[in-house]
Amino acid sequence: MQCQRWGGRMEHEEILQRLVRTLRRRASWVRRRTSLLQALFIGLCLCLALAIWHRFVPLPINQLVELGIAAMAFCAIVALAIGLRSRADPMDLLIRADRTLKLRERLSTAYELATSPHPHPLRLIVLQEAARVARSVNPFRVIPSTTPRTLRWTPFLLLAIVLVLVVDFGMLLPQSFIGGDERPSSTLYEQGQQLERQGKRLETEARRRGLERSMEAGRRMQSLGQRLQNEKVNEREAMARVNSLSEYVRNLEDELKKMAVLDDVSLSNVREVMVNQASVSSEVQRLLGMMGRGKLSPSEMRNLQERLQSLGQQGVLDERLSEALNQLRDGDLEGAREMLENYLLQDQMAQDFEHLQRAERALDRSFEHGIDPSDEMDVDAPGRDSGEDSEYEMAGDPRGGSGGLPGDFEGGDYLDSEGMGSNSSIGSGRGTERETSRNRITEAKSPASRITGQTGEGGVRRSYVRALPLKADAAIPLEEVITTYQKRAEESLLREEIPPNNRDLVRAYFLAIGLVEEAAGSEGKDEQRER
Amino acid sequence: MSSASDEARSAELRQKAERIRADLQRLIRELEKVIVGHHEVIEGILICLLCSGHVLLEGVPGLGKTLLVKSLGRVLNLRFSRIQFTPDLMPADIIGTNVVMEDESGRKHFEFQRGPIFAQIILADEINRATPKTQSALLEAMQEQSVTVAGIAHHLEAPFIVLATQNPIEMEGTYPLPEAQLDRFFLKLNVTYPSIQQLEDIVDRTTQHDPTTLQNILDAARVGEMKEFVRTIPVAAHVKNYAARLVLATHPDSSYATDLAKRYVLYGSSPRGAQSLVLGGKMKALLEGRYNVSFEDLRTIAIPSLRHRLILNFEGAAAGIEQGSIVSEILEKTPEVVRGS
Repeated sequence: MQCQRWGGRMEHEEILQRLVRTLRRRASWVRRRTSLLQALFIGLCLCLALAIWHRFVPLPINQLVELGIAAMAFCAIVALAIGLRSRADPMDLLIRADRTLKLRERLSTAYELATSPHPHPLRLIVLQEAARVARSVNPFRVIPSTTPRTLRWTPFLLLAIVLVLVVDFGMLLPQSFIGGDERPSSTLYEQGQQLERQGKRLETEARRRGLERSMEAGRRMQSLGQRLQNEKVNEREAMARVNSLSEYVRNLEDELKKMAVLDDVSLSNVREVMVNQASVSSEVQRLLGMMGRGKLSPSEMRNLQERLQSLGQQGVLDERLSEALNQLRDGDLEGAREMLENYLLQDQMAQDFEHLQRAERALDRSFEHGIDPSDEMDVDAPGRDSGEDSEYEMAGDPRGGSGGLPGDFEGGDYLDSEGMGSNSSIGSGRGTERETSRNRITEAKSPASRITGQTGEGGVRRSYVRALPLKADAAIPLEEVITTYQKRAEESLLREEIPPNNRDLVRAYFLAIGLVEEAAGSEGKDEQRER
Repeated sequence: MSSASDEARSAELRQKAERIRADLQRLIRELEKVIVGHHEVIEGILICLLCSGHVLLEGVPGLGKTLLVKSLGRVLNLRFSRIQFTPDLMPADIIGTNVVMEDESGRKHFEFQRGPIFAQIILADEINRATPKTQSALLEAMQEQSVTVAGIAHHLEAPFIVLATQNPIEMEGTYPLPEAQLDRFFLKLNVTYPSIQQLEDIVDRTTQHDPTTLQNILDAARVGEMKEFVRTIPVAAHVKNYAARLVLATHPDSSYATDLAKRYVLYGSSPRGAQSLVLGGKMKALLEGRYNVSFEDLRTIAIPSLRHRLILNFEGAAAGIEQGSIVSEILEKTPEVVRGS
């Protein structure tokens, strides 16, 4: 009954509601489309801004493209979100339909009456009229999918992007306008050329020596040199780079020369040695301990041989250890043990000699400059290098102020190897290069100067550094100098020029390294112990 | 009440509306037998009749204003009265007065003698020739449809419509109508000079044959029925909002006011203007066979509804600004739909 009562009215209302739904769908679609188009336009504007930015601050092209796509995508997502959120008011849509199709407010009035809770005597007639005209309503005509007017500028925008990316404005605009008036100065240009030449030289030299990383460094130097000749960079910054790079190159050349010396004396067997001397010694000691147990079983013997051989694989198998290995293979256990003991003794003497030299130098400095020797004497601290850098400053030593590659210089490849240079056992030397080379040859040939350092390219191992001779001319066999220096140390300790308040420190140092007798200063020793 | 009865009721209403429209068309055709041209004036008068309003007809003498009103009285079969306004006309001459009467026994008493206002169609001819005092005598009659004499209210018979004619105020011997009285006119219609074809037609009709006899089309009851139906025509909210904004735009201090209104208008339209707009719009819709009011209806009726309600300031009067041009500008610049309306 109820259905019958309102049947006719419901039918007309349903027609009206259907029209409303159609118009709403259409309006939503058009709004989303318009929002999307506008968003893409904004995205294009952002792309243009990126392109302009790229002209002044060059970005990698793939990064530029990614940024552009990201900007467009972001705008599109925002537009879609806005489009999804907004919903058209049915009354607005019907008013629009009335006005567009000149329906004289039939639809809107009918919708208002249909949705009004108050009855109206003409409601049915008005609904009938609205339903009659609603059938002829074309939603595409009511809500046409117009293109935003701003999109008229899209071709120009695209053209502008292409122009900005492609055209060299230096040809069209005055230099001052595009900010490119800083042509490389002649100094920079010359430095660039020089750098390129040095790079070529380094590459050639490195290729000859088979040093791949140096070849790479040479190539990079050439590239940088070319950039300096062509690019517009800040002159001061560029000069700083050139200077630091030049120094680096000098050090690298020195290193190559030194390596050449080492090659000449056939010391290539030490090229990659980074063995901690202490660990070698302890290993030898352990081997001696195994031998001291008397007769060894075949498996123990084999183990002994393997361990000794492993030392050889680490590059520290010198003549004595080879001899010991041969004796071991021959079954001469006693001879092998004697050889290893001799090795250990010499090693200990070499370390003592190094300590002695350090002490002497520290004392010399304190006497010459009147500085507190305590600042120089903490030789046991493995990482304590401040006092030694001046002596140990070698080509490419990363601890050195100038030997390492500047941090701002072309990325980390140069620094990946803990300093491109090496910790050569031969320092930078004092005297002419020729003399230094000669000394090194002498040192290399002498039986007691075991060069346990690494030359050429490679990593840096601090433990190894401590075992090196301090100076280039320090390659005198330890056994020849140990007594002399022991005596000089004791004399130095008793010398009156040492400030009284520093004597204890000096004494304590020598006591610690075992080069002076306790009787030489029992008072100081007691005090040191207390301390 | 079922769907069928709904449909029947709907059909009945439709028929009623059709009959009203047909009667009005017949009425117009009958009037056009004697009135050449002036279609908008005739339609305006009918709108006022069915909206319980009064009409102010403005035009120079000799354009057929009086003839139109007299003809209307004839076709409507309503009691017609004509008052010729002159400078010496007194209010009592319009509404009537108490006169001393003597009965058969010789006793004297006051007796109210009804004036010409006691009719259904009043022709207030050349209303602006009378003094404002006399013009104001119509105020109560027009608004309340009653007159009060010596403390006694006398109701006027419905339908009651005043059709006032006035000469342009710049003519000699005229008094401008008071604002209160102007506001009581539903529409102000301008009777313009006929075109050459219309003039030839007038000459033909009045010089060749006897005057045409008009038929009686409607009566008071039928008019009352029509008036009721007109008021049932619905007006959508946004259409009403448009009417309200149009009226507010005539106020110089309103945010909707246009430039001309701000500059030349002293007082804008009263709420009667909005009533006039909406009712006139309903009547227009009915005449066009629609059952709802459109923006176009309001725009059509806006100028005759609002122009006489605008009181110009000195600058406007001195510059000779037409109120109609101000309303036109308001129609031009006021958007039909505003967001959030």
